[in-house]
Amino acid sequence: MSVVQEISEFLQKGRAKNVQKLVQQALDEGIDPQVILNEGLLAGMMVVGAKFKREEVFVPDVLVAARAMNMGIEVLAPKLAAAGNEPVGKAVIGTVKGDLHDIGKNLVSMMLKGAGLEIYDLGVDVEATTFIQKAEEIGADIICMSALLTTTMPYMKDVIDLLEEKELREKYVVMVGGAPVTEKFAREIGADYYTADATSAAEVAKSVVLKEAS
Amino acid sequence: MIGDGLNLAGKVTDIKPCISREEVFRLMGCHETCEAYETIKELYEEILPKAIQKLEPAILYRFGRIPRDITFLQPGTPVVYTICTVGEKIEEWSSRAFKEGNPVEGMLLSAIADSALFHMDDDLERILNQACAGTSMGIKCRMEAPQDIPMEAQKLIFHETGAKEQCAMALSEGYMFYPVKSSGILFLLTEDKSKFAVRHECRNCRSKTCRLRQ
Repeated sequence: MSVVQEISEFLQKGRAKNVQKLVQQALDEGIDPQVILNEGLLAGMMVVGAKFKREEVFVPDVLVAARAMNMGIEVLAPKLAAAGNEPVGKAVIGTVKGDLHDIGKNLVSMMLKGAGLEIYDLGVDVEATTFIQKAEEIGADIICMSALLTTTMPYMKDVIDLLEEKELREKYVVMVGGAPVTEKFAREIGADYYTADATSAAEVAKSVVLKEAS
Repeated sequence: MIGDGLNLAGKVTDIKPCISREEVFRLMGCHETCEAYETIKELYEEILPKAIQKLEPAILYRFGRIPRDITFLQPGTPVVYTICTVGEKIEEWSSRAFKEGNPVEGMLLSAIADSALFHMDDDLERILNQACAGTSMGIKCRMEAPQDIPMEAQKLIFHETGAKEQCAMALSEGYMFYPVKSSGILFLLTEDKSKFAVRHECRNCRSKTCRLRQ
């Protein structure tokens, strides 16, 4: 088994220290940082995500895998930056104004990172203008919004309306999610995608940016 | 005759946090078959003492009547407005852990805070029992948003308990409390002193996906 495959295997088991050590070993062996990222860390995370979707592993297993991935990326990040490697895409994410829930949004953020996207997490209680300003500033591909309350989910439409008003709607893919949000609601407010869980969100986001790039 | 005692109010902070490991693990969806079980168990034991130090439990209560401008309950109805909170420090730590790439810690801290908050029901019961003892009132039923009363009720509870002044709490536009790990409960009073329906009844609760459902 190659060191890159070993990284993927250990990541799937959530062995953060082993992952960190192996990433360093791979770098020392002269393996391209992008290969370590894509075929080691992200590949491992995708396996975990797929298993989670099939209910073969559970949330805690995904969490420990994500922690291992983050620890691996810590070692890898300076090398990736030095080599000028670009992420597959960029996304801003936040819980909409009035809503202070952040666990679901954090899980989606974690899975999007695991899919290779660069994530700008705006936190909770996020104003429409903040979503748009940040997306413009970093050249995002996707705007992801979360709401956990029926009283706050209508604010997702305010963000989309503001995008329309500023004539920026076509520039971004808008993804929405959260417990009370449905496919029907997403269509009604003019969002591009609704996903029911973090793994599906990551799959959709990745396919969207890859489609745009091709 | 309900009337005497409707001026009762208080803030209680002499509360010993109570956390159940079984409950924390249930909230995280972590059971013994999870590959990550041992890792999470170790981390739980490690962070629990520090997490307890971050908890700042407080209970606010005020007896009163439903104001005239309220539509979701009959104006004039005698009630007790209550808020339980574990404070903001543990929530801040949880959010920071997610931001720093440690979702396991973030999720554990969030579940620990939830467990502590749920256990404050015991303290609330004791406080209301003492408060009702000196009056001619009993507790008819317990109402929580959004299951039994609309989210707007949280605004009423927030103001009536003086949560801003007493505990430096805030209310979002979506009627969520800050700190997030807080709960607002409205108790309807009755002339039947023998009645004391303070506890949450899982069988009557509409939150069918709640991990703590019994």
